[in-house]
Amino acid sequence: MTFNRSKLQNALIHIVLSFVAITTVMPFYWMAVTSLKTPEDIFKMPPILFPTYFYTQNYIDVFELMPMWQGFLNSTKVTVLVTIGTLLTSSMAAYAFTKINFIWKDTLFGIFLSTLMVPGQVTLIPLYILFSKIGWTDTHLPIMVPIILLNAYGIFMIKQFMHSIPDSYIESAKIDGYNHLGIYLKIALPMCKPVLVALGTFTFIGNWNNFLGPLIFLSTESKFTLPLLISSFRDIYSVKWGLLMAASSVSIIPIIILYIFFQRFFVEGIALTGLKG
Amino acid sequence: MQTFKKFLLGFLLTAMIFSMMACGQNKAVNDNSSANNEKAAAQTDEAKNKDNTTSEDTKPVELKFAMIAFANEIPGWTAMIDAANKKLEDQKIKISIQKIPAQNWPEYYQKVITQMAAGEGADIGRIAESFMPQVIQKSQVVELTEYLKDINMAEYFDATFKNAGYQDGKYYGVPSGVYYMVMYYNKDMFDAANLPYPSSDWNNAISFEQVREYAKKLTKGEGANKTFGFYAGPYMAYIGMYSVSLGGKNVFNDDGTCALGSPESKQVYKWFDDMLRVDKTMPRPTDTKVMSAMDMFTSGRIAMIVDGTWSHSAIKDIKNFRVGVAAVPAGNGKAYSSMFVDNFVIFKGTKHEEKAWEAIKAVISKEGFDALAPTGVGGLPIVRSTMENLKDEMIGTQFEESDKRAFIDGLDNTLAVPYNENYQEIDQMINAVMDEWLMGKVTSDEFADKVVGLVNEGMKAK
Repeated sequence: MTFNRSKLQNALIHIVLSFVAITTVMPFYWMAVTSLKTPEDIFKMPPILFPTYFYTQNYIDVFELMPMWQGFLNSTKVTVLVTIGTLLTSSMAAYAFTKINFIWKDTLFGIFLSTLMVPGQVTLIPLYILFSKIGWTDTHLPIMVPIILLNAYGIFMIKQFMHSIPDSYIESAKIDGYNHLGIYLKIALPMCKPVLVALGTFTFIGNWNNFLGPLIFLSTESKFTLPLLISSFRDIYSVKWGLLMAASSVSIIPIIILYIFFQRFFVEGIALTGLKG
Repeated sequence: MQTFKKFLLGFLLTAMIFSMMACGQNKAVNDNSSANNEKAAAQTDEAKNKDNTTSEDTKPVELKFAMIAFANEIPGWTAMIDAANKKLEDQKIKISIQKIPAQNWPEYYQKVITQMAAGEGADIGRIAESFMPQVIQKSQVVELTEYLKDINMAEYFDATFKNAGYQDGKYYGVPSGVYYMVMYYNKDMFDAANLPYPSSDWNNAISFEQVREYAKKLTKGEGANKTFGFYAGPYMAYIGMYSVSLGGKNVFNDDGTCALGSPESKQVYKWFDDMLRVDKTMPRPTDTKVMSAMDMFTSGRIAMIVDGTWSHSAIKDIKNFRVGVAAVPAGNGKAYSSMFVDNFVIFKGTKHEEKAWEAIKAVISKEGFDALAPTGVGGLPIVRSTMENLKDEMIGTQFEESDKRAFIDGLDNTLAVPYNENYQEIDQMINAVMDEWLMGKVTSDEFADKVVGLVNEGMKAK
């Protein structure tokens, strides 16, 4: 069914969308522009929206003061591994909870969900002591392994989506001789692409910006992730805005690349999860 | 194709597992330390005497120094530690810096105590003065009273040692530098308004009424372009210095109850209130939410600001206008300045307590402060000769003699902030309700009474 809109309606829609787009993009633009200003120009009134001179010293200083490349590599390694691991373990667990009947299934799922109510800060010290005893402190393992092995939110999200996979598919696959691993890999996982992309995006962004875990578990500067390095540019007395904006601009590049490539799946995933939820 | 997919999946999983193992392996292979001390909070005599005596110790004993890693401060503290390490070479002691990239002292403290709980705490570190009563009460730092007999106090501004790290006649920390409050002002704005500069004489400082009058004349414009005449934070730690200048008490009465409801303190709150709500010559929380007051001053939007000397490195960077230094406003002529002295401490649980003390001694030596002071980090040095020799470099050659005098004389008019183990908690409770007053929902008297209630309740609860 086609829907004929008048030119005026179209124009109004475009104006509203343009306003929303500008409002959304403006903070990023301001961040990039501030990173290219001298300290004196940052707070000038009226604000300089279109600088005529690009002060690149902020970027040079950022890379000289902090091991930003190393931080970038560390963040990429941790975030990519956590994202892939989370998608694997959460989807496997969601499949088990949805399509396999086993004893105490519902109780176990309830316990998983209840972990969402425990604030992360509460478990920090006991976790640190535990990881210290097994020699994992000052490594990336404490900020990867617990998240990969138990992501209750991820399991819940995929489980809700998997409910929409008809059981008849599963039965047919069993008749064809597939075991649960085969059904998971060949039927369930491909059908969950939208929700996997959505969860992957949330997990990627969440872990890329993770600050408290790395702050507590990491001690050697060469192992710091980007949020730790960026936080050094602000202290309790002052903020080096130019340096902070330059460091922040560098840190969001992977997120922007991720979004550009996966935007379609991300939107599809949110829409599909919303409809079926 | 299916075989390829299986292979790819298997490869990815294997790569993931191996890379995680590699992360763990690095730590296991490189970790040469002995088993973790499970009683990190309790100091035992065995730990005290457990300095290296084995034949393996031809290499230096490495002591970890927990440093809050603000990017602009790292060069200063690193220079100080390097100077200390040079002094410690003969004693085969080496201080290695453990940078803690916290944004504030509570995050730094969280990291330090987490490591201590696991027996992996640093040997020495620097702690904000406001946290000292708490760490002393929880036995997280070593008592230094006996060790301090080693120090020639005549070389130091010895009054700085009696800060919040000095409790019940015992020392638990040594000063890392002195911060205190001064008033910075925009000389160009004063010249444009034809006003005399605020007094640099701490015995005859600018009065509250004069500040209010000047602030009205220096406030111009509206909205985002408005310039304000004055800013000072009405925080608990600062109210005391204004109150004492009126003849009142410094936050607490002699019997330990809260003095912030006294007539003198209420007069101070009223002074703030008049400038905030009546004259509108002081920025409100909505103005300083996006841009801090110091950022507003450095960009020429505030004419006078009372702030700590921790902001001095930002002040020295100002190129767009001339800056003056004056005494803090006073009620009756003589001005006082709240003093903040962070401490170097030895953490409980260190396996090398005596060597840690040697390290601290080297850090606070003349050589250590000579390396730190020119960087403008850490406040003013506590070593007398360093202060005398480097005062021009520390304060900045762009300042006139009267400004330098005002800056230095502030040290003779300091007032210790009466920190105790509840201070942090009470301060946070007060700050949580301060916006009600600053936004005009309660009067300054009502706010003062609320503060007294909160403080007295907080003290009783403990």
